[in-house]
Amino acid sequence: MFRILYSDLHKILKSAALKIGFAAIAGYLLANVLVLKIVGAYMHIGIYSDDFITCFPEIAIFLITASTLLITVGDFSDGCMRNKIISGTSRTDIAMSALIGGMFQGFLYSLAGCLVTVLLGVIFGEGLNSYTVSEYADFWIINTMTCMAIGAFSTILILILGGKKISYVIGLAFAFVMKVFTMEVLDKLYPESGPCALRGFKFLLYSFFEKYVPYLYQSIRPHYSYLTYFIGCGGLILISVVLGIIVFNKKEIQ
Amino acid sequence: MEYVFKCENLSKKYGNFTALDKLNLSIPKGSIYGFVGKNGAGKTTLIRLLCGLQTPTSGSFELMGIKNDDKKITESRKRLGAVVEAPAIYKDMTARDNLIQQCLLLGLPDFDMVDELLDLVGLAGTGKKKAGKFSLGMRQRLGIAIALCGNPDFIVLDEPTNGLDPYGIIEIRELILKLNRELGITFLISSHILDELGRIATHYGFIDKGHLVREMSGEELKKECRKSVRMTVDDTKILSKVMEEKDYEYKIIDDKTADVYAEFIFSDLAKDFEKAGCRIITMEEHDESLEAFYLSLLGGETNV
Repeated sequence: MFRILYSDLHKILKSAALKIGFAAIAGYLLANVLVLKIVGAYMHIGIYSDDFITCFPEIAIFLITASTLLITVGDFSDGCMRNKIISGTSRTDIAMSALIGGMFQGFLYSLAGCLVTVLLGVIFGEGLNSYTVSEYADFWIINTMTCMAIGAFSTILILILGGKKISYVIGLAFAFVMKVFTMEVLDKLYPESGPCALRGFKFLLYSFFEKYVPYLYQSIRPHYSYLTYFIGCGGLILISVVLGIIVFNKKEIQ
Repeated sequence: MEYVFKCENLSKKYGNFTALDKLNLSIPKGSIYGFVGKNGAGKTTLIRLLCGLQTPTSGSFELMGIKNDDKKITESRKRLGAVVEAPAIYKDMTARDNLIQQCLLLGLPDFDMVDELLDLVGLAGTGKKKAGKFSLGMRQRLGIAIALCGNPDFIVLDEPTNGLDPYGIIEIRELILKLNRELGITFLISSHILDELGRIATHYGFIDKGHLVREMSGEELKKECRKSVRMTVDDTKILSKVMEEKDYEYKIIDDKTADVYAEFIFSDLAKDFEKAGCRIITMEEHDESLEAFYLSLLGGETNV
């Protein structure tokens, strides 16, 4: 298990997709901050470090999905998945290693997003406004857990689909649907004006999604206990592990 | 005889399509086994089953003495190296990094063999060039170097000379022969270039529509590949008449050339031709190639 994990992590760190991902984070965040700065200067208002805290999470789902797609689908299309099996590694270990690799990518992106955001905050921001330092740290810890869970699930989705080209469509479409669904759930649970109009089963269902589906965590300021977020992220990772091991062990590799 | 791979009644179905149909095949240890068949005959399917990429629908096989339903089969694949279809390489890594990656995958304690392997396959000078920018031939060489990582006992090569220039083909051939003779590595090679295969293989398996049509040693094949006399004459119509009179087996190649499959005295035959009013222009001994043998075995289709 450790040899394939070491090999997979080595491959991820060497991959062009990861470097492109880091460049995309830096570019996107810098562009956002500059736009805020220009608007702020025009309106004669200062910007705060926490004004752009949600910039990275806005793109995180797509970024992690795209990165795992490029790296894991590449494993199939380059034939390297065949090499892993031929090298005498069990399929369970291959699936687990791929999953941890997906989590690792999520972790690295979240770390990069956090560092760039903090750095830009120090350079361009005027301290924290609505967040305390502790809340700011909580936000990034939960964001990192979420990114890792999404990375794991996205990777397993590709393994289930056998790394076919359709993985790109399904992977990105799933990320898009989750983003739209997030907006729908949060909009209904926390309407801009007036109280929540949801009742009965729909209210319970939407509340459950908001509480336990990691894809929704990045769009709202953390307001549940760490245990809730652990259950949500851990649950998604556990589902990924079970699905990945069962399906990948039976998968016919071309 | 010790075998590195043996299968019994091995079948593989994809929906209604039967890719392998009760295949029985044995690869002796230390041999270079040439696996010959048309496109879609089932060659790559067998390789996929052997490599553990897919599971058989029925039947069984043994890889280095371990049955396919034994859990140890995964472990036994550590002694296997393979290039299945296209070479498996990381395109955004250099040749050296690709080999290091394979060493890590195999859990090798060091990367000492990396430079040696690069030298062996002629990629030592590729430096920082990414594998994605390699030519098809260079990728093929890198694929073979990856298969050689970890000193395997058994190497499976699916079309190893694909994309190689004539010089590259000779190099790979020499490499296979060297590894087989010096290190005793067993090879299973499927190739479309049958004459090339004919130069290195010690054993052959001919497959068609998922069935093993014939399995034989190189010696047996040599005996089977009939010798003929290729004759260039004025008129092959007269040649046909003479051959039928003498009850000799023959094959017309074109209107002036024919192959004669018989043992005869040249001067007597020349007299018969003169009597019939036909001149013999040239006459030479002609060996039937592996390709011709294959075609005669499977009934003349050329898509091999």
